[in-house]
Amino acid sequence: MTDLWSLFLSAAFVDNMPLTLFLGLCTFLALSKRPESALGLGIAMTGVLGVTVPLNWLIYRGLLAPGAWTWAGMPELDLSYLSLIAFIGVIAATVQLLEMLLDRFFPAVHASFGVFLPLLTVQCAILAGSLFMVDRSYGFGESVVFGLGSGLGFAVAVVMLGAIRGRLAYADLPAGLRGLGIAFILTGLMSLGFASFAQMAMSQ
Amino acid sequence: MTEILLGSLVIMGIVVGLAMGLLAFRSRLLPSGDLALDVNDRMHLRAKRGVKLLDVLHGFDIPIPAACGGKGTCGLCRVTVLGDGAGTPQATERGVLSPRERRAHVRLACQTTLSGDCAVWVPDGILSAGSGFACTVASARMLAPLIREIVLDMPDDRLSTFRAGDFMQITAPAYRLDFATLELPEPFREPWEIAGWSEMRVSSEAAVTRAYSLANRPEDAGTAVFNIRLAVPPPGRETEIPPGLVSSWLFTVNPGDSVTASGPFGDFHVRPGTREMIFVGGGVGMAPLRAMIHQELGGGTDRRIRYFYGARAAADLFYSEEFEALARQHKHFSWRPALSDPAPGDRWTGASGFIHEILQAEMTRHAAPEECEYYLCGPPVMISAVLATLQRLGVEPDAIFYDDFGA
Repeated sequence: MTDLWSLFLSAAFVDNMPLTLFLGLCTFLALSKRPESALGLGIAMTGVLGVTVPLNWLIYRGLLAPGAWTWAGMPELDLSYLSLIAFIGVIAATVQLLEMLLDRFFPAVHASFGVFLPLLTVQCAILAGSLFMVDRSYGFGESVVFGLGSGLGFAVAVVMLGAIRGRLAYADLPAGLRGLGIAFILTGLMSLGFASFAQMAMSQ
Repeated sequence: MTEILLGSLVIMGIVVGLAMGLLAFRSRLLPSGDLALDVNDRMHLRAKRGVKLLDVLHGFDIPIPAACGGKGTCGLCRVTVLGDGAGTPQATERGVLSPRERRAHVRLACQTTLSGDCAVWVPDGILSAGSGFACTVASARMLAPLIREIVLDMPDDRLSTFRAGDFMQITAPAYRLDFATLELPEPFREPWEIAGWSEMRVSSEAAVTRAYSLANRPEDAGTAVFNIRLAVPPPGRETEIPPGLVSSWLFTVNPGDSVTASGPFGDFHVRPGTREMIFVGGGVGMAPLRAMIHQELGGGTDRRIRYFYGARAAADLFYSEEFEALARQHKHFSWRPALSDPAPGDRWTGASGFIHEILQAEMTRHAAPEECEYYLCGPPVMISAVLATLQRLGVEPDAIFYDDFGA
């Protein structure tokens, strides 16, 4: 249990997707203009990562990993070269499902996402979640925790950036820094802050 | 071999499984069946879900104008929509509609996807206009290498509601055209050869509708006069990108042919008042301005009128004698044509330069440019240059009226 909890914390903070690994920055910057849309993105990321990582674990372990076909008398068969294409398929389907759910039950959130919701299909942080899961040979339980943890870490980071950028609407910035310029600087400063989590994890 | 076979099977299995799962969810989540659409509380229509409102209205022969062809840029298809079925305005609509219009539930029909029952209000004139009517081409002649004047005989009193500045919609049927077969009058053949426009081909599989401004003078009653500019592709790409679908077709019609039109529509009109009027036009931006100037001068106005018109070379300048005659006839009207790129053989003695530069040069000498009213019509580049010039001259935006061809 403590192992899972520490995996959760490390996925959310130490290996934070946007601020430590710099993954998924396009949506991170694009949808953090207002805290509400940032929160929507955070929830969507948590949902998609929490579903796709375990689902891809099942597909990888059950069909693609070396040795997955031992029961059929083919122990040397290795289909892991198919993992990228299979993962992307699963992610695309999950995003489509999410889009339908949002359209049906939360049309306002759906409208605020606009074009960025379909773009989650090719969001690198989401694919990275599944690839890390394979790379680090997580078990099923671990993959659930890892997916939810990294999604939540993304949500925390994007809501924080959204809150800061919302406040900056009243700041008198030099013209060249307004908009994305200051967002990049903020992201850098926040990632310095998140680097301290890595330091804490190392010193333990 | 088994690896390839099994690999393909696995991927196919995953994709088919995902698709089936999605379809199952979709049939559960998204409602299906027709929705009810009320138009002006008078017509009660049934429409499919997920279809654009503009297409539904056109399908029921309600000719909502859409000069841009439903791309959400011209803003002509404004309608009032009530009901949840229309969803929230898209980003494209927010660029076109003012906050006041959005509060009043005005939407662009071409950007509104119907997902449930709703009620729509369209201008009454459009509802009674029907789906367009057939009229005959009275005359057609080339005015400039790319501009053709087409006069349509209007049946009955179709133009009884016409006000200068209005436009009509013209529908081109499905057709196929090879420009090499197009007959051109002698003076225009050479520019066509040089530009390679004769190599263009165009084919259109379905009926397409576009809006064109009327260039009517008072003496043109009973007919509709259009200046059609052929929308040619950028230089050097004549064989890749097809030219405009409706303008190409209008280059093929001859006197006696039948054309489907609807209208007139429009909200680009001369404002009543006593202020001096400055007209700035370029290309076929001539059409509505010509109608307005003739209407004003014919109505015996004593407002001072200046008309700045920009063309590239002397060959692109048309109706020039007409405006020279008007300027001789009316002391308070002045005609200021300018060529941006006069050809050496043009023997051009008038102003040279872009029309916004000519306008700036003359209006800086004007006693009070901010006291005038400005009517602009021309290509979007010209409009934005003139708007910037007027801003420098201190003209308030509410004294500027323009029609930028729905771009």
